[in-house]
Amino acid sequence: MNEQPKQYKWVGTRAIRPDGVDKVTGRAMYGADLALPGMVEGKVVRSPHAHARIISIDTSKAEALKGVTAVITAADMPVADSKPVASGEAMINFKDLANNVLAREKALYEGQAVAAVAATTAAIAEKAAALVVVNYEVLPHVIDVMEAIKEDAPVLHDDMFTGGVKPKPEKASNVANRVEFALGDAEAGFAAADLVIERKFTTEPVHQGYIEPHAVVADMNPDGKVDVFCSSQGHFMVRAFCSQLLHIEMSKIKVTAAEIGGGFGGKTTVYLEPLAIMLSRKSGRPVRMTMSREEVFRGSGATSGAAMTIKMGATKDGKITGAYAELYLQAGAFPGSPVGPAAMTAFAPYDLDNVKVVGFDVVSNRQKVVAYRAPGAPISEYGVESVVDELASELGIDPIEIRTINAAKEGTQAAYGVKFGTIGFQETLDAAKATEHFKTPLGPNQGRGVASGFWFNIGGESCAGIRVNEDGSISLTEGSPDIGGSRASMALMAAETLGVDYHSIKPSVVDTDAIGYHFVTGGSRVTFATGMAVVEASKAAIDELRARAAKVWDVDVDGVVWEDGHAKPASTNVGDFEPMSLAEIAKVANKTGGPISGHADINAKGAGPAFGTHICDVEVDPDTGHVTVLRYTAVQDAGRAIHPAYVEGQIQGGAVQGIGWALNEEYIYDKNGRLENAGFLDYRVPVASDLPMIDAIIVEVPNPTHPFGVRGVGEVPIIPPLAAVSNAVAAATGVRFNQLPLSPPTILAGIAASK
Amino acid sequence: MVKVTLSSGTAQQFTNGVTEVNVEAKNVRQMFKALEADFPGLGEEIQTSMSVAIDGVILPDPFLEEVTEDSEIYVLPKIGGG
Repeated sequence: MNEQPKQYKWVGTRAIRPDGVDKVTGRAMYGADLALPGMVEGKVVRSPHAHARIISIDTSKAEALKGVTAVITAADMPVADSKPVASGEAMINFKDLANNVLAREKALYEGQAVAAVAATTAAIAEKAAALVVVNYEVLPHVIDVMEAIKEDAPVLHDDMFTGGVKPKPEKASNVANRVEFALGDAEAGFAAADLVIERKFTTEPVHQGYIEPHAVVADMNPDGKVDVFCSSQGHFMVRAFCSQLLHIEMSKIKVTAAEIGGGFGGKTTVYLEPLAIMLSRKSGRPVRMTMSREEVFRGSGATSGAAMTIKMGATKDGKITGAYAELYLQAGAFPGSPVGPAAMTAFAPYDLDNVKVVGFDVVSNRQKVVAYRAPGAPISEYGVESVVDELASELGIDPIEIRTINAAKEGTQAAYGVKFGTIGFQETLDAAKATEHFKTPLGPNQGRGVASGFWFNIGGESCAGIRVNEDGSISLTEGSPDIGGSRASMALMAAETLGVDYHSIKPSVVDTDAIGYHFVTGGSRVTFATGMAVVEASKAAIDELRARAAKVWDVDVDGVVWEDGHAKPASTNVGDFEPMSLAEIAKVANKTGGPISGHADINAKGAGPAFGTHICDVEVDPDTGHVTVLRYTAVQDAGRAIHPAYVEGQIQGGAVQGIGWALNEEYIYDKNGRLENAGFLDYRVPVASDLPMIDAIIVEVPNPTHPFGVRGVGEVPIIPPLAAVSNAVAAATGVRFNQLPLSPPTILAGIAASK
Repeated sequence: MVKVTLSSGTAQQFTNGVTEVNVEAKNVRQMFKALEADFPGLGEEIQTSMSVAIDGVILPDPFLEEVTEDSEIYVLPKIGGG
């Protein structure tokens, strides 16, 4: 791992995280850790059917059980309009969200919540849940995305007509939406090519695999005020969604962010929170709800499974002349797969004149998908990066060289329209090519794969407060749940801006009553957007500190500058004053106007796109089909790594999740649409002993719109592994596999078929 | 006049496939209004469901941003993330 150039005192250092001791000593409070006086335990009743009409629900036996304090069904919940509503950067159809939280007329997947109970103990709640009698009319179901688009497929929503096409279809179908992007003339591009390759690919749905299951404690007071403590990627999102679903004013809901044991996009929506509030309202007591691991798999969203066709043409010298993609992404039970970003990112790493992408959002009887790192991009870029690799192989061109020939750079117009500003794709290719890894010879049954990835990154709403305490220490408040070490990054940026010791700053993620709206911790936005708010709040505090020093010196504020944590005279003309430290100014704050602080409430714009390039070496056992990852290097442009260790952690974590997607992970359903592997024993995510250390290489091409040059880093590293692994397996076996996961049976079947 | 570029999919729905449309506007608010007047449903669709990129910067909720005849304006789906 390379060390970053140190141009700053604090930014770019590997400081100890402020929340570290609490986490390693078990003191940190996660979602399930809170216990309140009089608290009862909630339990969800889930559909055993993949598709069924709910004829009736009889709760009488459950309600009669001693110790039961409340039973709820969808009848206890307001009916929501079927209309997309802007919620932060997302469009939410609250009718769909309400039905996903608690099924009303139909259960659309096995595991969907249909009722919930609360009781004095978890055991009684479990028993009461079993006493809720739901009368179902079982309906035909469909899981697979290509099966779901067939004419005779069971239709999930008889009021859903494909959007994005004209004229509007007269017949309901499972295709929720169609998107299309085009630049130039793809067919003309293929005509100009010396080599055209067209392949079909499939990927399976995969779960985010966060270690901490969903958990919440909700307490509704008799006067209607609600306190919620939960694990989420956005407590403001939880407040907004619960307010909308339950018709409770936002000001009456206070949500406190628990520590979060992973989210990766999977905690950007609500499942238990509205149920816990309703149960608390009915019980008159605080209610705690936690999902088991099995419930996490059956009842919470994964990302899409997909089918796609990728076609690309290139000249003999490796210039890509035409590209086409047709993408079908599972949305789960309700519309909203990430087909839009999948279509936009598919060819984004490349400078193409002729490209067309068509995408379809398809519902089927499985969990409603929710975001997973770089939603959609790993899927589409897997297909594209596999074909790029095959083009390189067929043309006899080095895989990094063909990407260099076609690499997007500043001024390149992406297929989705936007022209890139300053980007660092080529720098990642150069860094990958320069590694000792890329030059190391391979042995028998071994292969090397290369793949790249792109993600937009986003900004959005964030706030920050800097409070200068009487002793000169700093209390930093913000509202982005800390998943990847963001408290440390915020404190580093504040320390750098203020010119004070990092250790004098205490960062806190505060509740929804204590600070302004924050969009979720997701989209690789927090270090960029909340970091920008922290810098602006720090600058506001500096302005106040300068004003206070000016009062002490009895000079105009314009005569005071801020350097290295001190107020100093701007010139000798101002006067002969000893610099005043922040602590010295804080000490006399009461004499100069009272407490000193700085605040910023922003909607951050100008997130810098990020690119990565990965190299993967594998060995394939020809007798068992088992794939061993021998070596893995991940290069990524971070713009500026505020805390390099956490950037490396993001790169390593994303790479491992992508490797799991490539090699192991898949949902297995029985013929009734019931999930057969709802647990980590049978749903196999990579563990430390499965993989070598991921070598993370940080490239820094600063984002000019951020004060320290930050680009988001959390999304990109999950994108390249799917194709990097697949390309490596192709090199090791001489067989192209166009489906994931590359499990041993798939490998053996492919090898056998090639002989 | 400002030039607004639509994706081919959006253009098929609202502008008979024309991906570049010109409207009189000095800011995004006026641009939405003019697009809605010329292509009923389009301005509303962009405001409620889409993002706008101006000179390479993707804006999820643009409204008051200035636009000029030199601005590069693209209409995109909303982008979130994990």
